[in-house]
Amino acid sequence: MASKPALIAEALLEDLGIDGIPDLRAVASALNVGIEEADVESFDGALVRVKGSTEGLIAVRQTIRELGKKNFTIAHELGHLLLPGHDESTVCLAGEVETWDSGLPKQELEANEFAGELLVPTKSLVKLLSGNAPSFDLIESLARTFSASLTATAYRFVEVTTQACAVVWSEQGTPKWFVRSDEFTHWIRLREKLDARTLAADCFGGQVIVPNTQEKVAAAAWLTEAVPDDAKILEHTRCVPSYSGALTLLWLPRPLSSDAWQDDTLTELNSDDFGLHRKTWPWKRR
Amino acid sequence: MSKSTDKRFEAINRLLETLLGPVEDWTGDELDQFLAKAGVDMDAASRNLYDRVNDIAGGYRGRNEDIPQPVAELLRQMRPPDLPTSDPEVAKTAARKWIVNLRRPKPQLAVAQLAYAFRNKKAQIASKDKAVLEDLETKLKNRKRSDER
Repeated sequence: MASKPALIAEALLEDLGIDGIPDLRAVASALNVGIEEADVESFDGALVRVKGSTEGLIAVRQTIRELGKKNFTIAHELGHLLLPGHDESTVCLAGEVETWDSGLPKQELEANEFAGELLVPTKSLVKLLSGNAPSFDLIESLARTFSASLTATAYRFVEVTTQACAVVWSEQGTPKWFVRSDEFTHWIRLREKLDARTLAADCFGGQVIVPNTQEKVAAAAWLTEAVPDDAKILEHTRCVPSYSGALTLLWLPRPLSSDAWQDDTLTELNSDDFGLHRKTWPWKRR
Repeated sequence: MSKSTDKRFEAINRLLETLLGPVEDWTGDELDQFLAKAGVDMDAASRNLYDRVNDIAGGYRGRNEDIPQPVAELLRQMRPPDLPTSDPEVAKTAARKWIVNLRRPKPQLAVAQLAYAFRNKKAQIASKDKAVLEDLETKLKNRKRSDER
């Protein structure tokens, strides 16, 4: 089920009669919200509102470089304006917008959920995904279509795709948050230094150039659970030096359980394991 | 609109009629307007009413009795959209209701109130940027004033 903020963004688009790619400024104008670019340093976005109405003013930091990120910030502030329980004006710091770190305050996470759905609506995204294999080339093209940032589009892509994918945001050599599709049943290691076998680690390693293509890397380098060293995962990483970060798309075209390591397990099976005299569990190494 | 026939309210009804005229003739919009002018926050009042009715329903639940149908119906109709639900259809309907209610033209409170939660982050905001925020507040206040004229 879609989250409550996403449902409210969807209901807003429906109420405004927007059935394609939304024009964010038209949405704001329909709500009687003004948008101003502000010469500020200590926050990315702010909302001043008239209590009990949708009327307000949004300030967005003018030095945000990417249009997609600026749009996300505006959509995030609209979330604060429209979501239940967000009754006050807000000032949002750089680390609170366009991030899905579970340590963020609930209201900031909700505003990010809202912004994701408002900028990249599920209905429109699903239509554009049909049959395309997960890659950053696809996500970049979607980001241009929706005038959204790469991070927000990657996040939305993973929420909607039926492939086993995850997106990981790393900062200063450490994975900070990830989001995964329902089909990706594994957990990513967070808050520990990136494994040197990952491409993302090379974004922080100095001299190595990170390939612009998907590469097979050791699944064990990313996942928390024990998997054999030869189990592979497809990694596609974009270094984002301006934010000291790296955005990674992980994809498992086949479930890990059908890979070579499961064949190893099968060789252990013995018909005695299924009888009344069973002494060991079949998957325990003897 | 209809008046209570309870004898305890007779004096109040007489006073209201003298002050306001026959309230039975008022439309819902006129009542909304009147309450807004009196400074009543209808959303907060509705939420308070829901909570009160929910307490009454809780009494029945506690005694393992059926909730009277009018009480259950009132709860259903007044259900705040921010209450959690695991039913996707209820969640979708609640989201739609929330947006429709937000966008419905409402009489403004007697004095437009700006909300200032960002003052909680005062320590993290540069003084130059605080001036920008104050300027934003002033702009919105001026816009409200010129709308009201």
